Amino acid sequence: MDINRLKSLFELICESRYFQETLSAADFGGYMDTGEEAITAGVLFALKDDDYINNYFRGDGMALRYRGAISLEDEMAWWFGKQSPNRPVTSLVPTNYTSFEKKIIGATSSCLGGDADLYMGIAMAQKMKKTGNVVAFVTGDGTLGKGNYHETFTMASLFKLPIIFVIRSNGWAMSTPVEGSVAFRHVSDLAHAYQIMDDVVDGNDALAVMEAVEKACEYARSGKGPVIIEAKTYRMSPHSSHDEDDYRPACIRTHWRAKDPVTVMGRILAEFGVSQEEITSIEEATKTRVAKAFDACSNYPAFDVNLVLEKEIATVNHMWGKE
Amino acid sequence: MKTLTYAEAINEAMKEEMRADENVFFIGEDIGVYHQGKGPSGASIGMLEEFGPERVIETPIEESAIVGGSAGAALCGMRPVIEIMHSEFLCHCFEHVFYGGTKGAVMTDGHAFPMVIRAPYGGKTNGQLVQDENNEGWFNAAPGLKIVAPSTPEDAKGMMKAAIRDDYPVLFMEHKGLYKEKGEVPEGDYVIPLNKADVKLEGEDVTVLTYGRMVHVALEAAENLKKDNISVEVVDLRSLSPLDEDTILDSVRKTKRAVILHEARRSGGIGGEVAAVIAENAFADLKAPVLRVTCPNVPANFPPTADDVITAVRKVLG
Repeated sequence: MDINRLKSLFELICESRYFQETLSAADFGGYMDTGEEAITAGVLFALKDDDYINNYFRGDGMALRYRGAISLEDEMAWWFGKQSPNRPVTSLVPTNYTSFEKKIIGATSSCLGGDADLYMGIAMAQKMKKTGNVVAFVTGDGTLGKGNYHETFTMASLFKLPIIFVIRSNGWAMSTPVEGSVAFRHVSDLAHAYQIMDDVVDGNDALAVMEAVEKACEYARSGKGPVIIEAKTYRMSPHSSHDEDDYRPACIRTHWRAKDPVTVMGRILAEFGVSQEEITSIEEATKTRVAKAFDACSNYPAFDVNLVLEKEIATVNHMWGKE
Repeated sequence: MKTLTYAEAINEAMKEEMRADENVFFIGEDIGVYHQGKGPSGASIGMLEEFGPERVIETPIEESAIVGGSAGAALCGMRPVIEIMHSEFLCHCFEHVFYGGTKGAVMTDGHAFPMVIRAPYGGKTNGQLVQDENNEGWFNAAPGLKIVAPSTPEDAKGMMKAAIRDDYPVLFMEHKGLYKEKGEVPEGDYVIPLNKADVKLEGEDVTVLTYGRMVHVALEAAENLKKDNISVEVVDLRSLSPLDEDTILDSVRKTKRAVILHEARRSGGIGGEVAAVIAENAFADLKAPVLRVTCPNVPANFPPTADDVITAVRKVLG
């Protein structure tokens, strides 16, 4: 096991945690994913650079930063509506953004799962072009009632497409528990209905997630078809900054606090012989980095939303052949 | 020149483009074995035979996955040509048709998103409630999406080739009532630009702006009106979004009278858009209000007839 790799994984989770804490502390409105950070981190570490991943709506721009599509500072400025030099001129928040170059594809549907089939289509192209690349599509358990998943799973299975569905199984849609959102008992039952290979993993253990996705990648890359991985986790943050989160019992939160992904990954590092001193210093260095990025925001002017309008007009005219 | 039916013209266009570019693939329902001479459009004859199942992809009945999946493939450099069985089925992939190209293209900084969505549309007057829909107007509000509707085999072939070569999504409306209509088609490789209208008949007294099967209804009305020395100019819009405003306005400024004709319902149809363009730009040139001749706002399809057009023409002439 490459210890440096594990340390990087730990650092990525910490960075996401502190980034989102900074956003929350500044009263920024958004969809945070505190408690679920190990999932996208584990997926990113398992994928190759040429594999595709969706830019999940919840959380921060972890994938963008990890793959070098954007710097910590630029992303921080973006969230706070500032125009830093490299801030892309599209989308309100980084979690909508697509970096085609880095194979991170943002959502084209405002309803989670509405574009599941687009990612299936990217996998279809990988198979047609024989690239050997896979697509990872991270989504939630609460939307699995949506008809689009049925269509997507059916086609992915029939055509044996190289797509890995990673379900962040946190037990909730927004305020509706998953028991009120789906009629199947287990995600594996759903996978079996489509004859799709399934797996279940502790979503708060980034190393376990990484290993499960690595295994799934091998399966998908070999042409055997798609995989659905259920990553069990819990959404510690409210659905959004507008959510009072008064519909979930406190005792469940306590249970999951003990399984905090940052704590779990720290424990794993310790098991692999990394000293507590070093673990703490990684945490502190990450906190400092994030704080510096936040401070740097005040140096930048406010973002001019007219830039978005100009770009959209130019793109639309180009699409219509009106130039 | 050679004689082809509208369906044959589309079939030839697809085959020629698939031979020329291995990234082009054809996808849809019942386009494989079943369509050898049968099936709704008949425009897929011989395709499975020539190109095989990896490029002629027969799908489950899942419009969202068909169009959404094709959009994902288009993003990665493939060039899907999608056959939607009936234009009503666009309801089941609405978001992908409406937003897919635009949002994707804007998000990726204008990255190519080539996708031809072929939609057999329109019908006859028989009061049936399904499968005769004219819904091109619904997508008129989609920024960046091209919507085209050829009326002849020559236009169908040239515009299909242009659509397949286009780097952005094209909603290609094929009128079901025209599939078996024959017409002269040039030999060889030719392309008709997508955002251009075409004056199908020159005239002096009134402009009838129309598209699809209604072009032939307008020509029938024009022929009839010759007896009374009324000279009708028939402009085939061909491109519904974007509109070829130059051709529209040139004609209306010349004749000073405009009648818009479409098979689709009145409200939300392309006609409202054309009327607004004329009002905004050629108001001073008009000698009469702009009239629309359409199917009434009812669920079933009641296409206008040549008599309806004649009535409207007489009305604008006073």
